[in-house]
Amino acid sequence: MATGVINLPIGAAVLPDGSASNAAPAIQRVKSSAAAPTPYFLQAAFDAATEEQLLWPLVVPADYGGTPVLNLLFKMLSASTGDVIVEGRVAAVTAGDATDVDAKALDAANTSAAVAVPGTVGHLAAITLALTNADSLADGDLAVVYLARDATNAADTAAGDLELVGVALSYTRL
Amino acid sequence: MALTAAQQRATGLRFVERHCDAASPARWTKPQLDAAVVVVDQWLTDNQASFVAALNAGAPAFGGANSTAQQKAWLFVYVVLVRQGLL
Repeated sequence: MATGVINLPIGAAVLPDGSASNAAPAIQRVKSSAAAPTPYFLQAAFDAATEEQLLWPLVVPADYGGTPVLNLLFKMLSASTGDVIVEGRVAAVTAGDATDVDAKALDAANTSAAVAVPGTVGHLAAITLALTNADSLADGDLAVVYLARDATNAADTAAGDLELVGVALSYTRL
Repeated sequence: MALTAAQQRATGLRFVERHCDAASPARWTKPQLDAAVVVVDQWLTDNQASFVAALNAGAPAFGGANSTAQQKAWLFVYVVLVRQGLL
């Protein structure tokens, strides 16, 4: 079966309001140190101590057939050893549902395995996180995808910020 | 006063945030960093009395009630920083 992909740009993420348990990562514009013209990109710097989160609202495409997976690309600010853990959640509402969108909650967490950070600072690594708990996500839904570093998890052992540079939601197409 | 576990974790991560980068990476996990902070914290606990006693004996004009605990701590930190070429 074919796979569909929705890119979730860092610059399109909604930041939480900073209240208790609603911390946001710093969004940073990065300029490569290479000679000009040089690549620029945005990254989200997830703290090593506080659980910070990003959210992407989207309308689910008409060809969505299930099996949602978050695909992440990250590097580390300073850590060259240890593991990181991320957590993904979904909230989905179908038009016509007897659901107050303003009071909608996220579904249960999907937690990644402990993923080893690259041995060299600045190198990329990938995380694949299956969103098993996906709130009955269906084509045409209004969905909110949540992503956090599970920094307080004892198995998240890497010191320093996780720098998230790429996010995509893949799924099985109808 | 010894640090709490939360203070130990926060101290280690603040150190990483400010003094580790691509050129000087953090080659330690958070638990390994915690352990290092605990060692430093315990060393300070074990040696605080002898430090104060040495100041009182060797520099009575500065020791005792002639300087606050904060001033003694700052002096200690300044000497360490200068010795390491950090100040």
